[in-house]
Amino acid sequence: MLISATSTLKLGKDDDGEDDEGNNHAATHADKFKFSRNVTVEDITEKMFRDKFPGVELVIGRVEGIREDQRIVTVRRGGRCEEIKYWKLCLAVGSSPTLGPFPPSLFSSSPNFLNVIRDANSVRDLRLLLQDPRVRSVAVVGNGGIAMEVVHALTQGGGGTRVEWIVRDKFVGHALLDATAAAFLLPSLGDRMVVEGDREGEGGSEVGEEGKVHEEVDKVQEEEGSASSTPPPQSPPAAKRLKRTAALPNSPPYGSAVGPNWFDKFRAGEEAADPNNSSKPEDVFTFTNAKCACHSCGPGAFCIPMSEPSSNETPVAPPSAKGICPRSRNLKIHYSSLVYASLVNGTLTKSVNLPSSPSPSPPLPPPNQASSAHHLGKSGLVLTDGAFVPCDAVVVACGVEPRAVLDAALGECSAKVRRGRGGKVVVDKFMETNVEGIYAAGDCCEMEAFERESELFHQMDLWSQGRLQGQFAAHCMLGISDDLMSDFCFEMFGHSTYFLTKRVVLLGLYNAQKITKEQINGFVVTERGLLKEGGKNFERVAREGGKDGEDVELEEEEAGGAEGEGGQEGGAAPPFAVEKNVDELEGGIKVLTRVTAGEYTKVVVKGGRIVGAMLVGDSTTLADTFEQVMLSRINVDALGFELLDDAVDIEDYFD
Amino acid sequence: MSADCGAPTGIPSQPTQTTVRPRIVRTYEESMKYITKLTPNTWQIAPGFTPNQTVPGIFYVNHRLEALMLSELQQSCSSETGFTGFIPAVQQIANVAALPGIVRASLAMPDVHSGYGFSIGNVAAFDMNDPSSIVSPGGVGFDINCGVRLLRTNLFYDDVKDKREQLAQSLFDHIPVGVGSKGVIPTTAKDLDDAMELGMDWSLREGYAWAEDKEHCEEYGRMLQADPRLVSRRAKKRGLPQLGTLGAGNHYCEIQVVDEVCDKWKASRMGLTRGQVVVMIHSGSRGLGHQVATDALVEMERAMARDGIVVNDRQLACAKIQSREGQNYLGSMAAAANYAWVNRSAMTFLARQTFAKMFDSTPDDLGMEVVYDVSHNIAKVEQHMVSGSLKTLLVHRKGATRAFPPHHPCIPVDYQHTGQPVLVGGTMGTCSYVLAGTQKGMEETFGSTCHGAGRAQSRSKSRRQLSYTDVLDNLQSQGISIRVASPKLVMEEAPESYKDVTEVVNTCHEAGISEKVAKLKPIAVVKG
Repeated sequence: MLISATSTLKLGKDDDGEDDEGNNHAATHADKFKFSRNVTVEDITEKMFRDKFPGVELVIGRVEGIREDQRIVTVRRGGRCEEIKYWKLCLAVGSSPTLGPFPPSLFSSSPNFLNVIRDANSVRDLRLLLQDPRVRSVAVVGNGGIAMEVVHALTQGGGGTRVEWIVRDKFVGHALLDATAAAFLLPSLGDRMVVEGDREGEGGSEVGEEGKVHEEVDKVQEEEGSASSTPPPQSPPAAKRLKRTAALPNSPPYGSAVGPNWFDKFRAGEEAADPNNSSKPEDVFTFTNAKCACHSCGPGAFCIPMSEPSSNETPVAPPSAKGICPRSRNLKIHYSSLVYASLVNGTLTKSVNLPSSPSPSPPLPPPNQASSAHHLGKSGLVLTDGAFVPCDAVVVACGVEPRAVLDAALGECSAKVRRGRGGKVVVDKFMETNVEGIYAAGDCCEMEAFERESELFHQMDLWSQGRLQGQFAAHCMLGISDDLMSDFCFEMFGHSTYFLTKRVVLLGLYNAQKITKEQINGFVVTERGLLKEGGKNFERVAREGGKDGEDVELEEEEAGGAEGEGGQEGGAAPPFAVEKNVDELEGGIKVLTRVTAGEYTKVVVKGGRIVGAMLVGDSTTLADTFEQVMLSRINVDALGFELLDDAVDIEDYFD
Repeated sequence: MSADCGAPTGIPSQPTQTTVRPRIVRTYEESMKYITKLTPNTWQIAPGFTPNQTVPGIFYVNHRLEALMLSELQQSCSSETGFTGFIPAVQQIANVAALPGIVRASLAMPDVHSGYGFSIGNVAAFDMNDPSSIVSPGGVGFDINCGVRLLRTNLFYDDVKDKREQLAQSLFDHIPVGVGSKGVIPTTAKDLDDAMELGMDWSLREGYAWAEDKEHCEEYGRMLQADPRLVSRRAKKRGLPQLGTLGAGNHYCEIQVVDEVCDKWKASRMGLTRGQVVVMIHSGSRGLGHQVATDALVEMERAMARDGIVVNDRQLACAKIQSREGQNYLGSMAAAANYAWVNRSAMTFLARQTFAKMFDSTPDDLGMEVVYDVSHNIAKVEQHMVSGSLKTLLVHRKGATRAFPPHHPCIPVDYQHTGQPVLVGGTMGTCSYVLAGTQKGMEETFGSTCHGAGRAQSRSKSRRQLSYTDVLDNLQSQGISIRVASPKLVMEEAPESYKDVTEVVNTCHEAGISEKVAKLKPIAVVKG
């Protein structure tokens, strides 16, 4: 919420700012909020806000309804209601995180066990939690962008926390990536990663007979349900000392969204809290943006060594082979898994929203872990495949839901505003809803008009998009949106992020969104590419690529001999195995992919033009070129697969 | 036309057969009958190699670079794929030699490699007085007025040695870089129009440039024929948020040290001595230039059938200079060029502020003057001697730098005796050069020389072929320790990747089309 709201404010200082208070009570807590690149506001108060942004009044309270006919918004401050008149109003209420399979009662009864990343406080809480020496293992449930970032953050930090990642899909990063990219990214975690779940038929050894375990769980559940409707003993094993700020989930419990830089906050706090940890290896490597330098192909500033011996400088610790991040921690991924039940101090709670019939159960004897753990008062999660995942805390990142917060804010005017997907309010090309004077930006709005009119644009609930929407909404509200000015950012989808030490850039319809029916569950073409009979396992290519390519033959399809020359000449360093592929879909859509040890590149071509690109690792240096070529709609048909040929500098070609 | 997405512009996917000649298929041996070595550094492609070729193609390569050129041709001749994929540079040079109105030769600098239509490194001049002469956006490139600017300082390496990390970080913090970055200069649509019309005069007016900066730019930082009204709305939309940004891809800003002085007198005239710290800015017109070029390509493709222009490659879309399309392109190209100068001026401003802050001084006291500013993606009207008579030509330079000799009226007073300074940026993270124009270059190449590293060891390739640890081991065995560096740049630190720009520059030096003045070595890079 704050992302859009502050962006709106930054540009539109004339509007009252009441769009922003929504349920902003958390903002009064002492924590840092980055307002923009230069303004950091600590401990926002109404007065401070006035000083920082003269002409803007911050009202901290809860919106309890809007009367659009009189243009009045009702705000509850402290104990009383206030009516504020508005001329134009922007809804920037964001959305609230869903709790996924966890019943709300569990959240309130064991707040230290379940964690939701949403605002600065929740980041701080998670940080505190991880500092607790008793928290040895954390489970992450969810497979979207936030889950990815949380796993990234947890695996990047120092220490030895074990991470259990429970994803319902067959690959990680379902919301953003595709199967190939996911497989490509994971090896960068190092060898200590364990894969579980039914992927490519190889079942993990711990997979038990789910039917039996479930019976057990159900039985326990029944007993407890009848015996004690009282909440379980308030003694969470881990992090008992923590003071929690989270409230009940049915009232909006969160402050403003934590923003795109939450990871920096997370890291900053971690380092500050651990002063004797100052000589970490990454200090030698990077001094910008606190990113792991294993694959620093992103923007940045770098110093170049001068060729003169200077003894007072620290030599670099040789990194482990093939750029694998030496500091990655234990990560275990449970694919195709749902949480069947949660165990907190031996108290079992069955999950909600489970599919009615779980997948057929394998005829194996139960490992009985769940029941024994139950008796010992352990904590953990029981998965639908019967496996028991012991953990001391759970990070829930199961997506967000805008309907509830919007309903609360809109009050009686709720029915008059046109709603779209998931209850979002639909806005037109000027960010205005169908109710005059009410605008919306961020997660709570649906940019249907832009999706329809801009070929390369699709909306995703990302912080980066929210910020642009906020800025644009402000322009529109102030009537300075000469359309030359600001709506070009919605011409094409673009997102740049880091995941598991590698940079990821997503451009346009990178998963053939909007243009093919085969987009269900991500992108089947690439998924098939990964699982293809007799095909290559990209994971292995990336892992072993550096050694020698003997067991990695080249795809023979349309790749031609383009790869060959790189390998033969020089002869010094063996070439990385290059995996190339072209898939043709219906409607003249072609998908070109290329995988080497350092990069994964996917380009979606439609009618001879590039409409989407997914760049991971080294190939992210091509982001600017692809962006320009896509926006210019240049026909690349004549180039064929050589578009991705590394013998040609595509950057120069279109320079 | 592709009606599939209702796009307002876009290059149609169906080639218009009437305006494109079919390609001649030859074996490598047949092709080589047309290609001869004139001097140790010069090769000629005889007329007849491509259909309708009226003048020879000439390329400047040394022994190592020539192997690359010819092996590329050989590979293409034996290729099964036929007409798809990249056209080899030799073929592209000859295709340009078949364009209407071209004079003397289609020239290629040592850093030549495959590009859109024209190869990168191609110089082609068309007679303005010949009504059939054409102008082609492919001969300028998409990043119109992409160029390099060099700022000098009064500082030496020892002054910045301990501060270069902070300096680099500070530059990175101040200069907007990368995909989606937004400019620091507050601009409206009106400002954008003014900037496109006035070029560096706008920067000067707004207080971002010094008056003497203009003096050390080609065209004084402003092309007078610029007409912002000819720039499409879409181009302006793409350009507005990017004004004053560095860009990503191969654009960068580097802090460098003068590593080697080759011509002491010329270097001192340019204010450069060994060990001195300089700042190099490589940037262009970004999305705006890209859209201007694309718009022109679409418009010209339509006009070609009407005017009866036939070319050898569809990417060589062009229009008669005097036609509406030709004039529209020249006006909008000039506007994009002005935009690029404003961009480089904004970057200059930010670099000056950063240094002043870091050294608690003023940019004036630090002597942060612009040494020179070159454009290596541009078409210009110039006067040259052709076959003994003075002619007015439209010279396309794509990935090639103007290098005018001493005493030429178009170069600033300060450099009348040295010849025009030429700035050659290497691949980001490797070394760069300062050269000077020569009379021989004026006579042979329309006063042009190389612009950069070329493809001898393309960036991506060097990265993939050399392992990071190998390079580190190598450097450590030489007693070089590394404090802070990106592994990728360490890799480019490998001697192999140096060969590239050095060989290109040496070839130009040996051929006499430009002379080496100084070699620069980066100590810090800011990139998008």
